[in-house]
Amino acid sequence: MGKRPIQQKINRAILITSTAVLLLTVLAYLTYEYLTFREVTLERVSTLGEVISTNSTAALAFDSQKDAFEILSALKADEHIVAAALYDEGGNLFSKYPMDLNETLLPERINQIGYNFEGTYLHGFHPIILGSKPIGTLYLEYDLKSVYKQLAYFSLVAFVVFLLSLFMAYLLSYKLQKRIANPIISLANVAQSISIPKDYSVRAIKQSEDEIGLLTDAFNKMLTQIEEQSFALQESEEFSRTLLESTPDCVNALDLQGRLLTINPQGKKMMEIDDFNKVHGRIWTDLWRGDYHSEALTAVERARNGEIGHFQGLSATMKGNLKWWDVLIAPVYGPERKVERLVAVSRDITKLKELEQQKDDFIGIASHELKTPVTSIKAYTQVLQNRFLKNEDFQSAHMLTKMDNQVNKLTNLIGDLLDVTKIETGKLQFKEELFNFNDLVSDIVEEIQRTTERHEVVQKLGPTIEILGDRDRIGQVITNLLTNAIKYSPRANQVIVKTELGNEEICLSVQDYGLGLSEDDKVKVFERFYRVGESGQETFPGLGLGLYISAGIIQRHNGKIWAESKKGKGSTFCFALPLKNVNSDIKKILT
Amino acid sequence: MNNVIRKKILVADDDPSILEVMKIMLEQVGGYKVTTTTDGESVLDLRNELPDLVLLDLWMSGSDGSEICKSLKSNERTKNLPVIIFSANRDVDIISKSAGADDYLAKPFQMDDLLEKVERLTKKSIRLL
Repeated sequence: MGKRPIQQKINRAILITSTAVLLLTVLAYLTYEYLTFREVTLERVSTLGEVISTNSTAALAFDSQKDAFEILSALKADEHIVAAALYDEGGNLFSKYPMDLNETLLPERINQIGYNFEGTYLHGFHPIILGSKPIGTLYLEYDLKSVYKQLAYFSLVAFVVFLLSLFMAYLLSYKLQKRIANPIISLANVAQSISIPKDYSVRAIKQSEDEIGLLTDAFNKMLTQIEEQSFALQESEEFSRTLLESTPDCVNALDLQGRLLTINPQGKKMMEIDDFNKVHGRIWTDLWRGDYHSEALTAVERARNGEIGHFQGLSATMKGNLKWWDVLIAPVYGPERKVERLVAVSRDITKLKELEQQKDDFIGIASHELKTPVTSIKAYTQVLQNRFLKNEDFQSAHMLTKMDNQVNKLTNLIGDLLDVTKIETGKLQFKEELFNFNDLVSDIVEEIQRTTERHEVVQKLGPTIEILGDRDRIGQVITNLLTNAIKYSPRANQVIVKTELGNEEICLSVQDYGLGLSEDDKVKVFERFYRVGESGQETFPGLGLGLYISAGIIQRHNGKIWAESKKGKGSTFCFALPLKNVNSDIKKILT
Repeated sequence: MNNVIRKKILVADDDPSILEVMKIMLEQVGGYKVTTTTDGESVLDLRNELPDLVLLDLWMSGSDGSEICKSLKSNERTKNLPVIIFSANRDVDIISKSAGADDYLAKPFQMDDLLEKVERLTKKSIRLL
């Protein structure tokens, strides 16, 4: 019966209104009655006074107390007159009614002419006039008790009527309020029946066309929307749950302090967690050691600032098995677009890392094994060349020079294979030393010049400087740029090498008059395995690794490398190495 | 050159064809007396006469050239014996330095480089004797 309030409220409103109206009516009625009674009584008494006064004129004039008493005795007809008296001209008591009335009950002297209500009595004085001369005064005392009794009786009747009316009002309101309350109650019932089992397919029945009917319609429409939304939400939750449970990754939810809140089932398996309570609330970044710990902290910090953190690291499972992980940390936003939580998705890349290691090992062994026969070939070539020179067979010796150049090319290709893996794994080692930049350029130009007959390598070298870096590696870059320039300008006969010393960097450029590059190629040439190739056009040999390795070397020296070119107009490849760390290092050496 | 006592050089490598061609280079072009071995450990077994220079391959089956070099350099009798480490490993310079070798040679090498290095170090060994 929790639906009482609305009914009670309507009942109460009707009853209060009825009570107020009835009360006002009864009060008005009683007031009217009271006033009317008083007025009528006053008029009766004053008429009576007039009659008695007129009749008493003779008695007073002839001083007959017997007559006066008889006249007063006529007052018997009105039982309400409880006392009456006649006074002579001098104000002395002349006659009184009833006969046995105690004189002390009468007024001591004549007061003002006129009638007054006093307590339950109406009393007053009436002048007795003969001609136009007052000859005495009449006193009358009227008992109002019976009048008031009648008034009280009226009040009782009014009160009973009031109660009956109120009861009627209650009965009527009890019946009538249902017409207003019932649709609201049934709507409330529907709402309640939905809120507990959350069954949004229920609809309220429209019972009227008034505001409640509108409310019912709006309510039903709202239900339809909620039903649709909850269905969509359920679907999306189901999708997320399936995603979380079927993902091969370890998905951790962290709070902003980096504490572990939850982990998906797959994650528990991957992390070999038997009892999640043991790890719940632990600082997630503490799972990482050494360098990976600081990388994890950086990634968490990024995510807290609304970015995506990423790193790869080695971490042990709960059972102490070391695994490689690729980790992405993303922010989770709350309703106010503030980062509230973090999600860390860790992918087990142990297998990948193992394969990578195997690949690196393989390439390491392969390049070593390839170099061994090449070493023999090169050595025999040189021994033979030495012999031919001794025997002055210059033609054969020259052929062997060419053979030696080819062997060098082969050696470089093998070297490139090894370098690519090293660049990719960040293991490219540098042997830093101070060296004269232009001297290195000249040495390499001299070497390259020996391998080409068609092209002249023109040197336009600016001021030189000692720089700090890996001389062999930078030499490798210059060699690569020069051999490319020659290779890709088969019909030109000049390649220009320029060096330029700036305030903060030293630049080298190699310009050719060859095929040139398209806009797209200018960037792509530095990508791994990328080769400028056009179907149907001339093809050029190579693995497509040279510029990729060159870019890797220059980047490791904090320099930059780029290409300037127009299709068909030749290309210029440039690199710039910063002098900043060089100068400070020179200072270090000097002091 | 024939009147001078020919310097003795020991070459260790696990590849016979390399040993063969290096022997040719060092004997016919360089004029040295060359002994070769494919067994790295045998280099340490120097009971009799010491060579004037040892050429060691870094990565031999069964033994590690840099370990052999370290043993030679820590032995009182052989610590002044010049050692050149040669290898196809690109980091041969770093490895040879840490092993205490006197010089290094990256495979494949130029004959002139080999002869120049051997000559410089054998001359030095005369001074030391």
